[in-house]
Amino acid sequence: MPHYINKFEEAVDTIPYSNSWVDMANDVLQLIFEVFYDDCPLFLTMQSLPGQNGDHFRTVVFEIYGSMYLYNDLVRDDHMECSQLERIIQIDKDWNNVVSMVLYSSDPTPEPLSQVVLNVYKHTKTKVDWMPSLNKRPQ
Amino acid sequence: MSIKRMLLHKVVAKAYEIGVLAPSVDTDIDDMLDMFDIAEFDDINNKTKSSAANYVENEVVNFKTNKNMAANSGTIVDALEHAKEKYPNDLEMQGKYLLVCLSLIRRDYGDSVKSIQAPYLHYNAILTAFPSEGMVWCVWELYSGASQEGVGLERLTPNTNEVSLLFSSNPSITRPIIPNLMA
Repeated sequence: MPHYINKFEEAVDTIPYSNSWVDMANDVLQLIFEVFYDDCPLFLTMQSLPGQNGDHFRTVVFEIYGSMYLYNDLVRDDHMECSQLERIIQIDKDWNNVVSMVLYSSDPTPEPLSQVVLNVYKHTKTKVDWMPSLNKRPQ
Repeated sequence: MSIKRMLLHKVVAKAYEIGVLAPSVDTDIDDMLDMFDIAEFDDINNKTKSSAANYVENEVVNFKTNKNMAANSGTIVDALEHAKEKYPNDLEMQGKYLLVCLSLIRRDYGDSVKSIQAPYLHYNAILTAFPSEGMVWCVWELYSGASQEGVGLERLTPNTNEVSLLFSSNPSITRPIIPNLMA
């Protein structure tokens, strides 16, 4: 029987499997923004400006039940390319030395991305605030 | 929810708010209150909601000055021994105590506490190490997906490179895992 460190992680891990990773990513977003939002003492949404190839990140950094999490979408031309949720194990005040653990990913062989994503926000001008509508399927 | 239970929630919520407890594990509220050594819940039940907050703040002061800690408290090993006494047959609960203790150490000595992530067998291992008393202490957590499959404590003696497994909540881990991870 699985043991979870909090009910948020349990909820994420027990999202019903779907053949569509976009549907599963939407379920994760729904948990964050609709179910657990009120329990988050820290909730920060960020969106990077599109790069030369049109890619940009949409990111939520939030704290819940004493742990910090990062949810990230890679978006290309308004379509989500991949999404990932990580628990941040360690981070310093300059957003360096980030150690994180992947909890959900649309990538079957995911690597932690938190350090990379946070570096983007450190070094580029960002737009803050985005509220999700349901993500669009890639064409 | 009973008034007593509601007040207990307020107490723990206040402890979270002022940072005395880091709710990184989903510990039962009564277990959390054991951290404060609150033996008489009726004491809280008799207080008003506002005085419950004052009560917690006093407990926090006591906690910080160790007045409320058992005589043998002070190190992570002592906390573990305390957990073993409280929950002699509950390895999972002992592991949760260890993680609460680690949260407090990270809060107070964050610069000295380092974490890494590494694969171990079919698990994803999170190792958190910190120096104390001339030795290096390492708490490991093993995950399979999001499910926590074990928590353990190991001690490394730098002079002799000796590694001792002091605790494992996973019965299948009976030897130190650090040497394998460092190999």
